[in-house]
Amino acid sequence: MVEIKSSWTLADELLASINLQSTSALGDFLFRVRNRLIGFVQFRPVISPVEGEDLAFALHVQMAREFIDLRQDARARRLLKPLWPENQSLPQPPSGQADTVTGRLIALLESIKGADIPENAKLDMIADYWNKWAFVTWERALLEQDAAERLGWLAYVERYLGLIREDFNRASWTPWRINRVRLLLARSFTEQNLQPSQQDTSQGLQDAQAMLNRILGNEPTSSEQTSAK
Amino acid sequence: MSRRRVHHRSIRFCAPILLLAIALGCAGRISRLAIAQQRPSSPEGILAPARADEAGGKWSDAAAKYEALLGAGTLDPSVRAAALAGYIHSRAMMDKWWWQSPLSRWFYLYGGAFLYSCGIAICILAVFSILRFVRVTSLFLFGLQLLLVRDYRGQARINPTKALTQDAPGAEFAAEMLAASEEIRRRLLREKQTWAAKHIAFLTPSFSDFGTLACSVPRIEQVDVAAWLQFMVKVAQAFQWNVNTGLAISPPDHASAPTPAPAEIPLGAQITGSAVLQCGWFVRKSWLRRASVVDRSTLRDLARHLTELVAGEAFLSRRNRKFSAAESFHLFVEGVRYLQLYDDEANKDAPSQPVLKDRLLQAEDALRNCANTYPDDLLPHYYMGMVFTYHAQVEQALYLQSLISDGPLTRSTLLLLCPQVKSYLKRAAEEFGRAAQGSDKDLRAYALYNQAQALAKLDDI
Repeated sequence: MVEIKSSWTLADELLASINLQSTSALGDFLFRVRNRLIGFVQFRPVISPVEGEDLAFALHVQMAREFIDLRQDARARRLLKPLWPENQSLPQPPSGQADTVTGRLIALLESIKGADIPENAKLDMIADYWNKWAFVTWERALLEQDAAERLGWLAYVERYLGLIREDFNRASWTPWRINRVRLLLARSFTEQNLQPSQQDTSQGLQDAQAMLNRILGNEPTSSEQTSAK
Repeated sequence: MSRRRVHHRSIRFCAPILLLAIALGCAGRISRLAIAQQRPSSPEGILAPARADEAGGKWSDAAAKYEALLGAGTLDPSVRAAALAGYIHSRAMMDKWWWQSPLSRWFYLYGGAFLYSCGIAICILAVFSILRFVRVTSLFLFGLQLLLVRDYRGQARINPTKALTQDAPGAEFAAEMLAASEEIRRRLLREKQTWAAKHIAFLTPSFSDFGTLACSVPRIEQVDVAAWLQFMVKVAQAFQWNVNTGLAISPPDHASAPTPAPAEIPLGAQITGSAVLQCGWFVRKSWLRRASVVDRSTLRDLARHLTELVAGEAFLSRRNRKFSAAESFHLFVEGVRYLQLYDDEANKDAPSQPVLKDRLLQAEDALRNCANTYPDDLLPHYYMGMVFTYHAQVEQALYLQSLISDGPLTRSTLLLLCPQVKSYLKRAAEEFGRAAQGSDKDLRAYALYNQAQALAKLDDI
């Protein structure tokens, strides 16, 4: 019987098969010895660009695998809301969750921040990290039947996306813009579900449309131009 | 004048004739001629040349010599009698000839030697033909090339462009090529293709040489050291890899609209650029590309095209093989260029839709052309995967837009992955997978990562 694997399983297997080790162990050893010698002479640790890129890539791979697990948790509704008081800039894993995917991902962020990798690569990675969190949380929110509960999840999505805009100045980054549109649309119809008679959701839809226009390069509509003025 | 000096002069005079005669196989006969130049004074000596001709069967020569002796008034009577007898005998023999043509006579005398010489010449030609047939010359030249010419790894000097027509902007073209090499390097570095960017940096302008340094060396007494140094520098430069370029502009067939200042190139004209990559007299490759002038950017595009071909040639050697043809590298770089231009536009606050669409389609065209024409080259497949990922992103945005305009806006429609997005993601995963197969460490790892990313996005609820 032929087993049909889900694309997630395939993706995880592919990520697990990535091996950054060189086929030449001797070459790697000599390269490391060379770097240590240079570091010894110059009284500073020497990380070659290649080593830095390899480390950054290894962190990317680890992050991708953890987020596949996180999405599986979100689909199974095992994902819990993080501890994220208003006065704190970053979320914390829920209590007793250190060994779960959430805990591992929070720990991974610390590893990324502390890694000896090029600064721009680090910023890219952290922005990608929060964008992925936003997407998975958005998916989790849409699985929620209860509109109020859904809005609660969507609030976290907004905070994740806010981290990217504020800390990384990526308001024109397309993946961020698409997640922003997703959030606006989800919130728009959720608010309408919550109180159909009272909520005016047209503003949310207009914002989403404006964001899509920027992604697709469409000419802004007259209402957008008016609101911009 | 002594006899010895006469002898030396006559030998000197006859030397070229002797060389020719030896080549024709007539050495024996000519040596007798040389001996006959001497003027002995004894009776035997006086008669000897004529008798030698008589003995050799050269009756006409013998008769002429006897006749000359008889004409001289100072002959001894016995010698005169002998000369007369010889003359009569020679004439009698000549009367027996049934041919009278001097040419036939020459063949009669020298025919054997002539045929012998022809035989030797034919043998030599046959040997040369055989050597040529088995390509000994090519083998010899190949051996010489191995000894003298370094492997081309992208290190080349871009020499000033030769203007093949009067109005061709040669200087500008060379400058455009240098700018293009820097642009290619920058774009590849942006893509983290450091292996390639490293090579492009080796395309250097011709003025970055030691010529000026050599010129400034002072004279040492009578020796012009600077001239000698310049000569040696030129020789060394000739055996580096050089890019020699030419540019021609052919006017349009029909009168075109007036060209906008400051361009001197008429609109609609045909612009032809050529580049030759050579080391010494060994030409590795030459290219000729033509374009119709639309505006000033045509010159720049042509210069970039030729620079990409020259740079691409560095990746064909066994040690550094990344592409199967220079044309493949050119198409790949063009694809990457348009993808980056797409990125630049997309990252603007208010991008233009026609520009976005045009750049993505141009990138797809170049990379598809590259991947189809050179299916064994892996990088174009990797970047085709990138193009499909971008397409998926655009389709996702269009789908969300359709939800706003047409609805229905529900949880399930929002979570749904539309068929176009799925199709593009699947094609992206396939292209990344193809790039991962058979590639080396780095490309394989990145291709697998991106394949996994495309697959991870595929699972909808």
